[in-house]
Amino acid sequence: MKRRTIKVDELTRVEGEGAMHIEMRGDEVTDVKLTIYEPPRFFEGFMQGRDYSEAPDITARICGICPVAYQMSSVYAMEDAFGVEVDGVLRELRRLLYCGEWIESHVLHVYLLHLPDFLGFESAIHMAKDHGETVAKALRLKKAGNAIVSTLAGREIHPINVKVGGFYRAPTKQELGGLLEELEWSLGMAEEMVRFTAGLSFPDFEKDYEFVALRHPEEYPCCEGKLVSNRGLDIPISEFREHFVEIHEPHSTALHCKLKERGMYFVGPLARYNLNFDKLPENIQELALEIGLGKTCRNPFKGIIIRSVETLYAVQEALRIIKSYEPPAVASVPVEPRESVGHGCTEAPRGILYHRYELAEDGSIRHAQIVPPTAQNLPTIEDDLRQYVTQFMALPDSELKWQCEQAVRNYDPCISCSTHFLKLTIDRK
Amino acid sequence: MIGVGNRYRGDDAAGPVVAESLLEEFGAESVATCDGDPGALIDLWSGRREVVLIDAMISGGSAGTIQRFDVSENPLPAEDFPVSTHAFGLAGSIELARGMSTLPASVVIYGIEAEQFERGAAMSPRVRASVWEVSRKLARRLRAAPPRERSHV
Repeated sequence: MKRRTIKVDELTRVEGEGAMHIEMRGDEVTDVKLTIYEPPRFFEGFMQGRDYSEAPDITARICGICPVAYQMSSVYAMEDAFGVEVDGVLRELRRLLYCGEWIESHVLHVYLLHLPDFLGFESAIHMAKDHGETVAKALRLKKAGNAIVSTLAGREIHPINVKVGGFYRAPTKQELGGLLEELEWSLGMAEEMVRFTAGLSFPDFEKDYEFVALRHPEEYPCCEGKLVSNRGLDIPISEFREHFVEIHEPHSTALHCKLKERGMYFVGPLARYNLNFDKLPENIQELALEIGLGKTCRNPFKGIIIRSVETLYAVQEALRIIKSYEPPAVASVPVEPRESVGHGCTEAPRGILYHRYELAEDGSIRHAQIVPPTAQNLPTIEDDLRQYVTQFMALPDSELKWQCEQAVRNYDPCISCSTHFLKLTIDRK
Repeated sequence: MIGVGNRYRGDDAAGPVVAESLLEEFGAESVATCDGDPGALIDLWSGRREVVLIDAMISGGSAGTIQRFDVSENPLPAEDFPVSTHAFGLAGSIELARGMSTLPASVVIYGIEAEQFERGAAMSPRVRASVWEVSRKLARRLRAAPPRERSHV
């Protein structure tokens, strides 16, 4: 029986270090592994004994692309533990900060990491020769997202102004106003991004996924809501561990996360969009329908369009928040630590990011658990590859390999994030 | 003049330290530091005729060795410059700008061979010595530039 192997030793255009291995015998796919060999990073372990107030700044270091997500999940978890609610302007500022991160991360992925696959270029560098103007505009749009994060939180990577209870310092009206001109330009550019990505060619590939995302009664989800799915999951964030389980697979330094009842599931822009289409502003819903996206999308390759739709939403939402901004009387609300357990879950660019902390009376961390989106998507990515290769087996190896790499990038995997948590057990005898 | 690198990772501070040493005399219009983000780098050199970049490198030579690369026409040997998994690296940023036709007409890189990139560590003595040598050389170069050009050296 003919044996074929598709092997990519170093996946490029993803964050972190991983490899892909697919084996076929005849018409059957016998093995698919997304091997994660990025070294484990032990964040959960070294959080133990640290003060609750350090969690936002320590966990932000897990990722240079989505530090805001880590900060937000950790502050919401701590506030849940201490019975603190942050609302009004401070809540709006958190949302604005998150918009900045979505813009930065989505634009980077859409234009510099994923688009080269669709246009047949080896990398964005090769693509820039033929599409220089597009790349230049993309960098400008990304910069508008960076500017939100650095203005509001001190710097664009690993921001330093977020604390449990709010911010260390709230921006002035003038500081936020300075972002408006570039965001007005970005609004047009983001709409162009949606139309441009909608015009790309997509493989005919759909699956009946279980999508999981936050859902909030009044808004497109960001930091708050219930965890829902298209197969009936509808739980408060605090019940995460009753429904989800983390599993160690030998070929991966990242844990895989599954639904206890039904196994693999899908988080990220597609899940958010499919479960919250009705919460998008009317003009964005209309645009999505006009470009033929529909209210539900099951083709993961079209994630590039949905990231563009979310970029447009983030720019529009940022403009709304900045235009109505009046500085708060205080930059943060008081927090009183107590012995407790807290849960936080926010929508990182790549999907839900769950944090859980057990805290001692003095506010020190007894136990930390962090479940990043890429770990949750890993089983689904492997299953996509299995089905994709089965469906397109007739393609020559080089083409199949290209498309499999593209299929992995559909999820914008952040391998550096996903390996932060491997547990190390030392058995001394 | 752009010093590229991370101030807090051992010899990776070489670029930023060179830039900081030039900043007081020549000002922020002519001197900058950058963590290596391609967008930020491309912004910094955008509209300039000439750019000099200073970065730590690993080519297998002895620590502190200074190498000069003129990449105005040809690519930088990417394998000699450390690349973060989150970015394109210096070589990638240069090629991205070349592709977009936004690379200055003259681009010269001073690479300083590094020994270690330990978090929180000081620069190695031999790298430190080379940093001052490059600083002196570039200060002379900037002083020699005609005053009207100085802001765009």
